[in-house]
Amino acid sequence: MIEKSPDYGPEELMAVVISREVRDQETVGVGMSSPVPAAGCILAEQLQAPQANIIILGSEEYYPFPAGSSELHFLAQRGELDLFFLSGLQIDRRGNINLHVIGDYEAPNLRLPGAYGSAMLYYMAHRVILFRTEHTRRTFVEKVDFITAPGITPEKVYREGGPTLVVTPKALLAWDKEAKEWGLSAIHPGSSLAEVKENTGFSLRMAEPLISTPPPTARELMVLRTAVREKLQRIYPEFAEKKIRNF
Amino acid sequence: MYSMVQAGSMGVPFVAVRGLLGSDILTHRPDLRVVENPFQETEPVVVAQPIRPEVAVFHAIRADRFGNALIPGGMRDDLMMARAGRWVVVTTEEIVEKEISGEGTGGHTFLPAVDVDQVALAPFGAHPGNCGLHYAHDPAHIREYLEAAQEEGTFQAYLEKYIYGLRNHQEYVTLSGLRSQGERGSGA
Repeated sequence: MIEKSPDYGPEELMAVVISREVRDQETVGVGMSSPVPAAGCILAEQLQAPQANIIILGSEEYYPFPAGSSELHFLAQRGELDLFFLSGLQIDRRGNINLHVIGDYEAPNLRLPGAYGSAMLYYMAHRVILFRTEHTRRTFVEKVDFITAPGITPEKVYREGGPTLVVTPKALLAWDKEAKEWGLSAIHPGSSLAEVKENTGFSLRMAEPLISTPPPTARELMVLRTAVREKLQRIYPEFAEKKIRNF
Repeated sequence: MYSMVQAGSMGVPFVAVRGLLGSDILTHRPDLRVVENPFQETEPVVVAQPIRPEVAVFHAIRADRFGNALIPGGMRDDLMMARAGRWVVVTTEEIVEKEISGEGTGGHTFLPAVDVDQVALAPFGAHPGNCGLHYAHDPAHIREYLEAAQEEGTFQAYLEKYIYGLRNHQEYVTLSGLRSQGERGSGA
């Protein structure tokens, strides 16, 4: 059988998967350089979460505060942020993320911009969804080179939330609170269990039964490519133009 | 970081910050320490030293002779940063006769004179960045900078061309071929 190539791109798929996680009425934050979650949140607003409070840094429309991005930071620290999105150049089995260096800290192969609040946000947002447009062994490692923000909380430290999901173009990983590591929750259309295992640098716990991510519906894609694309063009014009198809 | 700048703007000796425990940031930053929460014994919390820059510089679309200034919109934490700074310099596209007030700022951030120590006229002072509706960022110049910054030799040549080799800001404006078009209309 010849497999038909999907009529949507990986970023579109990820945006749809993310949108399904946003609940109506909740307060959702999207940080800088996060076009995929921004698309997902706007899509959710157009569908099942019209009353969600969506805060997107870098947007005029989705920015309800008089002052700057410190507003989102302190809102989260007050424990009032329900959902936030983080990424990491590396993400490991124990939920640690690395936004600092690849290689040795003193003599790094690559120096990244750093935490920018994520070491607080990962603690204080009620749910954090990690997203990464690359699902490879260099991203999903057994242990990160530098822990920018930890998945596991040291004893007696106050934490509102923490890791819940990782969204990639191949799969959805879910945080196992008991085992304190990632489990494979769903495999996206076009990918397979073997492919996910081969591209993940640590062993994944298996959810029973393992499910296939329902493909984007015609309605989800239509709304994503019309209303969402139009709003996204004012925040991430290049991304909207290149990664979200014109309906 | 926001907490540390805000603490600087408040003049307090340290600030408590949520999260961070278990992060490698703590092993590399002497200005972050773990202490016991005095109000919730046995709970470890991170405390941080305030950030108080020696000098904080802002670029305004206009300023007056008293030091009142309007900073173009966008990231609007400038007031907090100005208060954290020990010496605050405002460079500006223009200096206006009429005193600027905090009312009707048209979406711009108002820096009151009490928070500003010095004003300098510097048209195109944000170049190659953008400045409100006066001019957009200059992608060609930014690309030139990024390429030059790859290696020490080319970076030194860049500095020589745009900074050390010039006598003043006007020479930079002329060299970069920048011409004032005033504030463009609000049409995006």
